[in-house]
Amino acid sequence: MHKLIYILIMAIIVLAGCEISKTIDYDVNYPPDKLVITGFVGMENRAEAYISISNPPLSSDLKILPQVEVTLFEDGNIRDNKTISDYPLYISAIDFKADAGKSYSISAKAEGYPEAVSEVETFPERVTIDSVNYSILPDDEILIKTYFTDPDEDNYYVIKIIMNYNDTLVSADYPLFILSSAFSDKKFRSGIGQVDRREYLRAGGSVNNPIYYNKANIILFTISKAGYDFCRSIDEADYTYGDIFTAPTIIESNIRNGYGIFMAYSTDTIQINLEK
Amino acid sequence: MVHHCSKNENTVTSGCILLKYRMVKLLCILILFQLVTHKLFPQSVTISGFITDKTTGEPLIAASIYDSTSYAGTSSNNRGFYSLSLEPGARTVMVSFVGYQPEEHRVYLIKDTIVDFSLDPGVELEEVTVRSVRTQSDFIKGRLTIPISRLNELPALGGETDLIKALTTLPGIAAANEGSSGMVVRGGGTDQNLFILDGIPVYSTGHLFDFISVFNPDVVKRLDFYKGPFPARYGGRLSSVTDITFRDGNTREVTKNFEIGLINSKFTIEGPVDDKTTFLLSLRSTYLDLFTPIRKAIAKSGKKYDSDPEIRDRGQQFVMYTFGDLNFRVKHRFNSNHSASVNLFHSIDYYRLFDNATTYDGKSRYSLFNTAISMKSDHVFGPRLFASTMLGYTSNTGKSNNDQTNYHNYYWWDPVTHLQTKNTRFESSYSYRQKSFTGDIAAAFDFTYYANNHSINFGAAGTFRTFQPGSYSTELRDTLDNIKPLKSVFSNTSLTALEGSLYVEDEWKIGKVFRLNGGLRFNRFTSSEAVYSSLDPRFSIAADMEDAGSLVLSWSQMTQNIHALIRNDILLDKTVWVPSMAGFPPEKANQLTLGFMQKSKGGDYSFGAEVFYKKMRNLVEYRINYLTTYSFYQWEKSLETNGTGEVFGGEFLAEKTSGKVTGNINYSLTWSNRRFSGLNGGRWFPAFFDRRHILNITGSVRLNEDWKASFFWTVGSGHRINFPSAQVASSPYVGNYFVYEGINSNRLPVYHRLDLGAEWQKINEKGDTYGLKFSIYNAYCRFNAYYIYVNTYNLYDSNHNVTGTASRVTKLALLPIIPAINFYYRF
Repeated sequence: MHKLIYILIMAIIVLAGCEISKTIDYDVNYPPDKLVITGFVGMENRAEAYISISNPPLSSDLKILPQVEVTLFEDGNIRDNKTISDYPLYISAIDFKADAGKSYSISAKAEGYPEAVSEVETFPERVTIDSVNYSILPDDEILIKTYFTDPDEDNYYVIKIIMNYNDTLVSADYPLFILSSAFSDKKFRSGIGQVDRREYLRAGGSVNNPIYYNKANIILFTISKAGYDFCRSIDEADYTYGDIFTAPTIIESNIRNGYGIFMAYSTDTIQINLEK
Repeated sequence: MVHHCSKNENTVTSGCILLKYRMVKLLCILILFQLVTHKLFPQSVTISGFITDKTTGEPLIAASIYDSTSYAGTSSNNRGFYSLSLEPGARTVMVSFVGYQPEEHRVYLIKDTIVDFSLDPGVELEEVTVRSVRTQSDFIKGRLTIPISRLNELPALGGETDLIKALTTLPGIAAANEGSSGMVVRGGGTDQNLFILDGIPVYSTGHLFDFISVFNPDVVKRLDFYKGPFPARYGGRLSSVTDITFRDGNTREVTKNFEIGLINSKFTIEGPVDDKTTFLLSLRSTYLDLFTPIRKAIAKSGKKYDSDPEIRDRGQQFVMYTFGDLNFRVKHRFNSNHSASVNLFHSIDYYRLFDNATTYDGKSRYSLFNTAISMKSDHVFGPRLFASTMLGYTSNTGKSNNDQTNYHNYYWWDPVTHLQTKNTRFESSYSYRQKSFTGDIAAAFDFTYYANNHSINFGAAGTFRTFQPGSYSTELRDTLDNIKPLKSVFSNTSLTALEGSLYVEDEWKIGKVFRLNGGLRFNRFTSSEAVYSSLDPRFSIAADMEDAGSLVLSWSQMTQNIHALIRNDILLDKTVWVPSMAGFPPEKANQLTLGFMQKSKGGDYSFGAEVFYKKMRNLVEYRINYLTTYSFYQWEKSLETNGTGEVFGGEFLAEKTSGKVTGNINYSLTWSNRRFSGLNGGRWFPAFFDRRHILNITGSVRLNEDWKASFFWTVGSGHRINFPSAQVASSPYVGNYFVYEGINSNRLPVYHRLDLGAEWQKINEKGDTYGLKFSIYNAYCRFNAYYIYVNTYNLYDSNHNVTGTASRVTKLALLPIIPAINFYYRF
């Protein structure tokens, strides 16, 4: 009896020396890679799309698409078809102008990957800018207020401002617009929409001879709901980026068998002259 | 002679008047006779009193008492009081309780009578030892009861018996994570479980980051657990109620019990103060950090400001952790009808981390305090009415302090001679303080009225609540510039709320077979911004067919007026509570259950199955995002609200409850989903605790007079995690991002482990009991994942130069194998 107890006590003491924690490599099963379409079509404008391949989450490899066939559909019919290789950016034919009354979708095909096809996108009704006014702020800043009338239905917008000095100096531009600047019409539903934006007024020059922008192009994008959902989810995902185990923001996508977005938009542009 | 009196006659004949007079007279005589004979020979009389343990005098809760002729019966309440209405005359009354010798008493009833019963504890040798998880009566009431004797049979983590871990061996109840004392009941969150300690809620239930519960089993008399249906006297949480009753203390003699184990030790003393007063005191504490101060004093961290790269930044870390709890109770019996008690519970967790090197000194302190104080008074108003009043206070405080001092050593060099010209040393330091608090002052009045075939409970309660989700302060300073320290203070506003509730419920026995339980709970919650009222119905109907089994159908609605700021994608080590306010209405749950239970003829075996459906609304989820500079600061902006939850599934339990070998096997199948408009694109997603399958097998065996052994084996689906399915590289339009199939779309690997336990016990000539308890947690060392994370490591070439980095997913197994040995002595 006592012998048994002694044996048990010794076993306990020996086992108590075991390590408390252990790290073990864990194999995660990832789904197969898919094609990614990030594309846009603007009313009375061209269509463009960047095609890439997704990666496993922890991979740092950059996969190159040797060749991809891109097809643009207009009202269900093939409107344009191209095979691109060197750089996976599709731009529609030079004579192509998207028609306000039509709907568009895009597909991408590459060997070894399932064909990715977007949902059909219809152009949102163009919303026009009613008026713009501005005020000069200290520290070479300008506050630009843009007013427009929001229609009854749900609408989604982006405001883009390009500053200009005599068409020789232009503020930094970026493809299309900054996705995180997309907003909905919740605050001013069916009323007067107002968006205020601060921009830097100084274009360059020296401390003693500064040059200031004297023009501003204000572009009001009206984007589709799919586009807005994508933009907002990308913006929210930025806040939790880096912690892949936290409750994620689901990036909204309208691409079947793939990832990304194909977004329709319409624009209205107004140019104003600025005086400092 | 009969006279006919026509209604159409305008005048009444003298014959009719006479007939009517005689009929009235006869009726009066009959009524008078009934009254007299009913008083002298009532149709039912009430027998009432208390049922206690013969050796300790402790009241026995839910002891069964019934008349062996009519089978009319009842059970004692949580003060050991019973009331039973029987027909007058000679009656044979059977009194029984789990683990005790049943007794038979013959009584002759003429009028309402007070009879107290004392039962002998059962002998745990070859004789029948009943350790049922659920009696048939419990099943009908929706109650699971853990006998304390059963707790001590289960293998324990670190040798410490744990009430909550014992619950997680039962169907429908799962541990929140490996080794955790957090509980997930029928797919609900860990914040949806109400823990009541002698009438007062306890907010924080875990020591040691939730590895051990705060409830010391040495002071617990009984644990009643409800996961549906719910009696109307309970409210405030959606998924479960755990009602823990303190022991009163031995009324016969002073006894002591101490236990020493690898992780902690405890000491309990109880006994009579005089013939009417008893006390119970129990202390528990760990000594995990006993040797750390010595190690710290011996270790040298090197000179400060040392620039030698070999020793610069070489740090040493010392962790000190302490937990302890205290339970104290005094009970005084004024007379057979009136008693009062004062109860105190206090627990602390204190964690300190010292991190020192030549270039910095860091100190982190984290503390958690739990206090519950209650004063209770029980009164018997005649044979049918029992009343209990309670006044109490409960609070939960969490504090976090971080201090770090960095030692800087700057060298200045002459650009021409390249010689060192100057050396500047200075200190910079950073301090951070954080505190969160939740506290209640509560009063409650509960009554039970026993009528024929009815047991009516009703009562009222009021609670004043205080919430301080978080207050923070930071301070930055350095000795270089000698400028004033930079201080920041962030503080959430303190919130208060007033809550009142009324309830009534009736348990009605209809004949021998049917029982109907109906209740209504009204609640009104007033916070600084909003007033919410709720009316929660509770209903169940049961058919108790004895040998053919019991069938129960129930429906209940629960309301939860306070919300926990927990994230359901990870486990936080602290729960902070906030009240319902404008925009955050109370959470609600409706649950429908259908269950069946059958006992074998001898009562040795029982089988049960239940299916359930639970719908929840107004759920909240806490998300850390860019708005949250500090945890819980500006919490209102970090809440996803108006969530919906849906849980459904089934549970199966088979149990052997008596004999040398006892045990049970149970299986749960559960789906648990959530939906929030702002999460997952508004689509349904699996809840974090959505564990589809869980199978538990428990067994214990009495080997001989000295030895008993036990085991527990569990296998089940891992809980959900978030993990991306792909990564999209940056494009001209958007930067890179992760793609998720959905929230919680992945799952940790299958979880399984085996726990073993054994106990050796002896009684010496003085009658003292001593023994050893052995336990092995995770006996075959299964590396269950506690969590998974991304491990980034360097890549090297053949010359040991770093060429890049790579990442892989790694799982952390926290508890591979934990053996323990405890020694105890009771005298």
